[in-house]
Amino acid sequence: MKRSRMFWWGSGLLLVLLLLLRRPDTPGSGDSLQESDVPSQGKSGEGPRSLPAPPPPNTEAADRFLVVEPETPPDPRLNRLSEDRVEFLPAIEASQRISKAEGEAQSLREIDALLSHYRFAYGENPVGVENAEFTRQLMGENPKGIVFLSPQNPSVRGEELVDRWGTPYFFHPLSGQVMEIVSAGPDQTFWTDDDVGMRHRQER
Amino acid sequence: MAKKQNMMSRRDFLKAGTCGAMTIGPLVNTIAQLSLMSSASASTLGGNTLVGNDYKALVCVFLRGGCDMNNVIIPVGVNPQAQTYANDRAAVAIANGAVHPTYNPGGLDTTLAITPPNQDPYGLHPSLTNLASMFNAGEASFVCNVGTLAEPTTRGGYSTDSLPKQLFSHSDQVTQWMSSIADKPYTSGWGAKVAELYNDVWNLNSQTSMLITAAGNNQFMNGSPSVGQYSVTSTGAISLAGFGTNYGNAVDSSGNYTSGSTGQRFEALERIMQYSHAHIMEEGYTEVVRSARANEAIISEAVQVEQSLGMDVATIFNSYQAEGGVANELMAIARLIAGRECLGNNRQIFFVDLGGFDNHQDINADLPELLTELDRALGAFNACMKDLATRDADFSYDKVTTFQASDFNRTWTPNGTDINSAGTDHAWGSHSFVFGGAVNGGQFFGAMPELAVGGYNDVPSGSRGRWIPTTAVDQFASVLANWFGVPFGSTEMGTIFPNLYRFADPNSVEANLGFL
Repeated sequence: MKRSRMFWWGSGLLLVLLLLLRRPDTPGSGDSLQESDVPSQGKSGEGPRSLPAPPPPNTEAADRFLVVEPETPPDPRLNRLSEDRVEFLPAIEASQRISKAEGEAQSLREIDALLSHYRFAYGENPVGVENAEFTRQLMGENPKGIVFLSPQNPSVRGEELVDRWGTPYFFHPLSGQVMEIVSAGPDQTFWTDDDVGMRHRQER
Repeated sequence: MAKKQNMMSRRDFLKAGTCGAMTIGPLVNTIAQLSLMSSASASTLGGNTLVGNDYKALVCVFLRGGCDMNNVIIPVGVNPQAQTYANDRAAVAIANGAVHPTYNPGGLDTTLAITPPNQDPYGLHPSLTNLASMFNAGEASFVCNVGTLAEPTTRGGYSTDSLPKQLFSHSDQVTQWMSSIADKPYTSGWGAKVAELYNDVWNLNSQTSMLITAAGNNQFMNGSPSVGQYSVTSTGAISLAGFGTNYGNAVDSSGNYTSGSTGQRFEALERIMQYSHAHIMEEGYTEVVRSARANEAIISEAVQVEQSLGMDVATIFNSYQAEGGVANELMAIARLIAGRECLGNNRQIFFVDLGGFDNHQDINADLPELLTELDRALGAFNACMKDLATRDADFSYDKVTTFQASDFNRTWTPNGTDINSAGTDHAWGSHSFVFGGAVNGGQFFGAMPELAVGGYNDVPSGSRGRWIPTTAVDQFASVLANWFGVPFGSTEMGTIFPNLYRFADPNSVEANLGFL
């Protein structure tokens, strides 16, 4: 009798543990920023997967236990600035390398890396024509309030991302995935011989 | 079930074989086709029976890179926006009569006068002499401020309205212009959709694709499961290389393979083409080659028809000094329209393009050259259509409508102050020209935007003058499709332009789109 009761209690406990371990995915919740808004590396580009139907819950067992949701550990890549704004640290690090790069060509590569973080989060480049439009989106004016570029970054002047000579970069959107970026160079005048540009070979 | 493309019956082939008076056919066609052709004659088969006088063609001229249409239609004279134009466009402005202390101190006006009714005065870019003549002759019109839209959008609603995906990026905007769908991933062009839905209905005697491009593969014509786009060159079909002109090294004048290695190679290749394959990819590949060869014979016949009509397309193009890529492409299209009986299609869509309009720099040097090249080609093509109408009783000038599109318009303000290097950047709403005998010519349709930075049509997030379109591509294209034969309000129109219902009825006074 005693053994039988222990067996049923043990089974119930096991079921509850199994249910807790099978915690279903929670979708992003609209306007409020969630840690899950920044996708994990492995899931980029994956479509929705169809999962097998979960077994019916053992309500009898669940009723007798206090169900405690496991705490989600903070994503080390994120630095929450406020309720609606969060820094994405890998992008912040990339953006800090723009002004530290040895040459302008390397700076352009760092901007490209910065944009790749934006694409990682949103699947496409920021949208616009003017430097300030792109820079504002990188600084957090985007749907989930993710800050990829700090306003305090030495390469930011006002609302524009500028090269080492202080001239705003020229952004040329070839597609949603490929951005041509041009620095006016030391003479600070576009379309002259000392311009430095970067584009992806596969696009042209 | 859709009719399989490019599969000719013996009867169809015999009919088609009459088209070009068999001038080069014996050299181009395969041995099997040659044996049929040798027994055929134009006199016994009766000639023009496939198409007759029920014919319409749409010709899309795509200007790649985003043409600066702000320098195509220019406010002049007493137009209240003429001075704003001179002030704002500054280093890239065309002299329009308004004084600018730096760029036009004498107040010169080099624009070509056009006189659209009920409009303030406008001029065209000085390179567009033929287009200006066509406009003033009532053969051409402009549809103003047309562009990609996901829904009707205003300056006030810019931050909340659904916007086209990747607005201002080249490839995305090209795709959206060609598909007319701005808010969903691309699946097919609207030209391909028209063909998919109507080819079997309109083109009962089709001998070749309803979709012919002289500018290579394009998204406007892509995506139809049953109607593939067929590429031609300026001289007609794209032939297999290595067998001499018109296969002259591989096939002799009597239609037999030559005895040398070239003839043997060609014979072997033709036999390989006839093999069927169990593997779907292998069979698909072989079918592409087979259909290309079948189309080649027909196209080669079609481009010869001008001679039998006493028409000389090349001379007409030469008289307009029309040369270069787009001229050659339109020359090929003109020849194919003259030889439309061979193609067997009552409805035909053509595509040509001209690149180089992404003028972020040096626009004052580059744009006039591009517009000159374009204008000459357009003038020559238009003249060919009118010439053909005088020679072919089944053809009339109103059977072909040509329309223009581009990635987007360019910014109202330039990106520099130096006239030698300044350019303009990506913008949005643009102006498109249409011409042909069916066009209500000499008019502006749609709505001309307020040409001012910060004006009620300007995108509010910047300060460069990017016009929010007041006419959607969907509306513009639906008028063209309707002229072609797709009824407004039909299920088919809704399938081709699934977002059309979001915008004002193209037939409404509000839309002002009665250009056809």
